[in-house]
Amino acid sequence: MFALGPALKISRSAVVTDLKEHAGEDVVRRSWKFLPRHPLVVVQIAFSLALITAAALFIRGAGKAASVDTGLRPGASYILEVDASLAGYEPKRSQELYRNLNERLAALPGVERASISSIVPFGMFELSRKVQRAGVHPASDAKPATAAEGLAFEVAWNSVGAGYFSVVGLPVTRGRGFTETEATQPGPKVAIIDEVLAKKLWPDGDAVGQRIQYADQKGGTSADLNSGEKESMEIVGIVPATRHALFETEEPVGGIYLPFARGFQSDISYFVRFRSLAPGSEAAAADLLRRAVRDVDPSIPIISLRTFAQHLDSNLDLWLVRAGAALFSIFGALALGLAVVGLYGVKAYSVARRTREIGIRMALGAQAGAVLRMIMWEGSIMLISGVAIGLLLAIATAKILSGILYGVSALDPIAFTVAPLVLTLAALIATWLPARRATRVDPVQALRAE
Amino acid sequence: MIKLKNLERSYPLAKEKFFYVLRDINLEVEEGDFVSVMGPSGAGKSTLLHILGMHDHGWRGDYFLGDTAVHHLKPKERATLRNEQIGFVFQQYHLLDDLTVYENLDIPLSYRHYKKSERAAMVGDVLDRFQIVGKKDLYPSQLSGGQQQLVGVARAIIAEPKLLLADEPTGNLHSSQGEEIMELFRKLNEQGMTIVQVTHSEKNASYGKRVIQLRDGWIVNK
Repeated sequence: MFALGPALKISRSAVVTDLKEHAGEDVVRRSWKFLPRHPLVVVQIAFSLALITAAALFIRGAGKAASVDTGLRPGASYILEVDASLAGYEPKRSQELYRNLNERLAALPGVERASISSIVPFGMFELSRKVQRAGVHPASDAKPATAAEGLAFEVAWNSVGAGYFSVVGLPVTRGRGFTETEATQPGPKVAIIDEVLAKKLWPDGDAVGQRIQYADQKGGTSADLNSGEKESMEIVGIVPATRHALFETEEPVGGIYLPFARGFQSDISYFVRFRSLAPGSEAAAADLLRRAVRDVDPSIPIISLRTFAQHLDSNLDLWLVRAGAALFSIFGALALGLAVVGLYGVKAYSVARRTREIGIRMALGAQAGAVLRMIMWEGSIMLISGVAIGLLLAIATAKILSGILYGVSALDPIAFTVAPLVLTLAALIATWLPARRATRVDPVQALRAE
Repeated sequence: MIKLKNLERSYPLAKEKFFYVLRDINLEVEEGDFVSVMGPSGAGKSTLLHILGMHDHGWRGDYFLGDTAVHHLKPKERATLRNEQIGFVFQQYHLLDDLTVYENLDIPLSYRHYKKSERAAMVGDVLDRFQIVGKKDLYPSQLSGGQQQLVGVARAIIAEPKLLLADEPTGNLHSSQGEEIMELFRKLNEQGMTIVQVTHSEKNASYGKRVIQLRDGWIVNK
């Protein structure tokens, strides 16, 4: 199939003209001599640039995703996920078990603090609830415009232990955190909200001491989640807003935290913060935590145990970005390699076929620099054409990929600068090697080779 | 104009032995001279011409072109001197197939730092002088052998060299075309150009003022 083009071309050769021309000569006789001699290499360069640019965009995205500020400062923390229901525990017994385990973990040597959490930020699962000011009862068809009129906000929901905020490095900026009693025993209905939700509910006032209620009637496993009643909760503290997913592109939606006792989940995680974790001591620390669980009840399955950094690393969104970066880097590198080899092959072949021409030019006065410039210029025409077409292709590719890029614009100036530069540099080297060989042509040998 | 003293050219063979192409060449060519170098194949005629034309740098001895000691010059300086003073005509014409007659004539000028307008004027003059204006847009393969060599000579003298070197310029031409080229050489010589040609033809040699015979790399007469 691909041999058809050259076969047709050779079948149309003019015998007399060919006999008069020199065998092996790379003769190009066209009106538009400034156009590149090898359009297929131009196409190859163009596609390579599109792929390299896509790779650069993904690499930039992966870099940004990996260094994203989660808003949490958990230090040297482990996240230990267990589920007592898998060992046959009822919710009430589970609560007791989790309290014991929390105390056990907190008392381990080297551990600074430990706290339970039903949802781990940036994990596989999230829960959300609609929250509004307490005491408002807008009609079902009403469309309140303000929080005072009963406007509800969908926010991230979590139930946590008493020391959770200090373990994850989230300071309580107003009010207080949950007490041990609130966290472990059903008692007064209290909640802590983040600054975003506080601002939404009371734009001009202090949210601490105010009361809120759920606007929806979602199901759940806790009394609060199950309650269809609009029972109010007192806001006892405000914490800074954090991201809830790595790929949040809009402003934080807000968050509400309940004491774990009022938001029980059987599948829970402990944040266990060590004072420090020396390099190489991670395995020993993990063993310590496993032993603590076994000491409390050997039948409790450990679902996962990893550091907070490992937890972030295993984030699905981050994995997608990294997979995209890796995939496009491989494709981009392959495309770059093919383009460079193609360009080198074409120029090396051309120089070999044009030895006589180069010899004549040198015999007529061309010095090495002039020959080098001639070959480099011919390669540069291919390169410039390929890069021009490639940039258009890259823009189109980036627009298509824009939905799965993280933290970078589809027309990211750095990616669109670095990718052409890398390609240009590689292509110039690929052209320079045969060009340098051309400058070493011995005119006497070249002219006698006839 | 040319002075060669004890010039020799050899190629290395195995075990530190050398094959000598030219041996102990001592030669003087006056300005305005027309010298024919003759001898059997392999005598070193073309090698001598390429050394004079500064295409070949692997020789030993002294070579003076005018007052310049070529043997003391670096390759780049030799190339500059060659571009200023020497034109070369090849037996195989060596026109570039993908360039028109006009473009072939322009090549030597493009390597000599002339302005584009000056180059156009010089090419126009030569086209007129050689009466090949009508052929300027043709490619070499569209010309006869004689016409191609005419372009080859025009290209060699377009930068107005003082010395014209011709390596069997009529070797690929039939007799009438050969005579035409030799007449052209005679005219150029009469106009003051120094010419050194390599030839096998006694008739062509008779256009010159003197003959140098080479045998196995040695000059056997002057």
